[in-house]
Amino acid sequence: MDALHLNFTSAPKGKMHPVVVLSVIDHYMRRPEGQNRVIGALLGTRGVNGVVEIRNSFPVPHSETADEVAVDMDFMAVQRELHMETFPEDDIVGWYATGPEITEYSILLHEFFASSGSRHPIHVTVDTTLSNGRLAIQGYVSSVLQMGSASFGTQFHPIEVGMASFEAEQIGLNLISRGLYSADGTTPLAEEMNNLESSLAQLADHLDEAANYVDGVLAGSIQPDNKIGRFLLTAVSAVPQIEADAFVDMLDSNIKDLLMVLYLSDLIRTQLHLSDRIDKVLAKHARKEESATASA
Amino acid sequence: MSASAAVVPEVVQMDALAALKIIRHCQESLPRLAGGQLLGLDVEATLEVTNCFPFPHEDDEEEDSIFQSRYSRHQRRNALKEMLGTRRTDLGEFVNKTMHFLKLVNVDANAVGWYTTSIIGSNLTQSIITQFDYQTANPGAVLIVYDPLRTRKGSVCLRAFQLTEAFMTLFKGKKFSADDLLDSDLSFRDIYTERPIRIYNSPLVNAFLLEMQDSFQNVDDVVFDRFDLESAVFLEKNMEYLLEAIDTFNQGQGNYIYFKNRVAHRDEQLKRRRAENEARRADGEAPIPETDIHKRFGSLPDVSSRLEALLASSNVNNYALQLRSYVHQSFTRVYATEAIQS
Repeated sequence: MDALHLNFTSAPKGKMHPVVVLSVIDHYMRRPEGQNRVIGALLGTRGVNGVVEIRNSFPVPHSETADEVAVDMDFMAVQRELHMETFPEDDIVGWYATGPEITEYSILLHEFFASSGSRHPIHVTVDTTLSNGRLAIQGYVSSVLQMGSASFGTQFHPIEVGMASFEAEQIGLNLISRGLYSADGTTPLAEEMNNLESSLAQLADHLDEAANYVDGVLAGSIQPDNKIGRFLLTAVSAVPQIEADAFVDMLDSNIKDLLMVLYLSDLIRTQLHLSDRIDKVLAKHARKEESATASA
Repeated sequence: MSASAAVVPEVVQMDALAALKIIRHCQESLPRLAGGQLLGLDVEATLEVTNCFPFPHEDDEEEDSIFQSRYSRHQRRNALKEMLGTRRTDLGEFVNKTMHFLKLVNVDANAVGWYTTSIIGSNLTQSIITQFDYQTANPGAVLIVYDPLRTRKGSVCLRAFQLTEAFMTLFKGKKFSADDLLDSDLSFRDIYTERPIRIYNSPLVNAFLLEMQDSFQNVDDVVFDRFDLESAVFLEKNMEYLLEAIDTFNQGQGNYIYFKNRVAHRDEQLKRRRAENEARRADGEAPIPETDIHKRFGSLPDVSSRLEALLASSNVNNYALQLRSYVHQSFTRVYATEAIQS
């Protein structure tokens, strides 16, 4: 008896780095005139636990018309090679397309990517058209519907694609998200000191908020919440109890260290500037004398 | 600025993509120092960096590790120079190929500079040769450095540099004698100028960021990482570099003074001999040849180029300045701690 086989190789999960999404967006914005969507290859590694880490991507030029789809295969091969030179550990794990949906060409493209390098490619759509007012990111894997040995179709299953990032990427994201509400989309890169200032301001805000809450609870105007109370307790007890004298000692020695470093580094700079000046003045003087003796 | 001169950018505007790519590549490659090409456009006084791609790593990166002891750093520096010389063609081919393909997908395939990892500006002086090449080809080219050590402290440290015009002229002519420096009035502070950086987000990038806001709630962590008091690593590294820079500086200074003294000594003896010969000639005697004096002093090493000294001063200055800015921040942190404790 024939059974319907769903060839579903254990549902993988995708983890995508933000850089990839930004690259896709950039690619979309630079698409050729008259083209509605763009595609490209996703690169990364497959973990043992079925998690596909998508670390990089590159665009692949293609064209879609009413009755055919063409992919620049040479381009892809060379790009892949070039990419391997810089990131030898990455290989093609799937492909991306912009737009909200899977089109009839998606199956063809999927097969193409499956045949050229990646055995079970994953497909990710990034909705750059913002069709639901959101930039939705959705991952898919395909499975072949089979009856015995005859296959009669490919099915796309949605899979979960989460965001992965390193600490540095987080900091980078934090940096670019500062431009989120600026009028022309640009943000100046702030000095470290200004960053520290904004951090302090935020800390002060948080503290004010907490203080307001506590005051409110004490005055009876806010309904007390045990959970918040417990959080507050943890926060307060996180401040280490140090004897006042010991703390002052610590603080003083720390400040003295810093002052010392400051003093020495300034001394070094002063010395440099001085010697530079003296050097120049002496040289000028010597030159003047020389010309005086020469003319005499 | 005169209208006729090639416009030199005053601001560097980086696309979010380029910024993130640089941070990612440099951070991922640690402890190796990474580098890559910047792509973009000059738009009048703004240099737009819209994309970038990394240079491939070399295989023998051993000498490139930042965790090497400082004694081998000089050797490493030389090795790096040699490598840059021999690798040029190889790298050039890679760059050309990549640029060609990026052009096909409408990326701004103009080289507008390059980026590199730099620990507390430690390799800024080594970067001069490369930056000089870039700036010769395109006067607007910038060097963007990413400092992983300072980024750890909760804020991103990306800085854009260009060589000053005065330095470019001197470097082109390879003229760095004391006289040349005096004429151009170039001091150790005028090697690089720093350009402010702006980050640009396209509307779609903003859409993505809004979408992502739920999945990175720990932005606050980044904000509060800046209060981190544990700062010995940065301080130590910075001081270590500073000490080394001062050593190099002193050594150069010593060599120079020695050289000067020897020259003065030789000239003095030559003068005396000539006076003596003059007298002998007047008396009708044969003059004594000068060869023995020349032999005695041998060929003096030529250290008349002040480039090394200039760079050493610039290094010392750079490290000292960074220490200073670091200390300022630390004060703020320490006093904030005090406020919380009491």
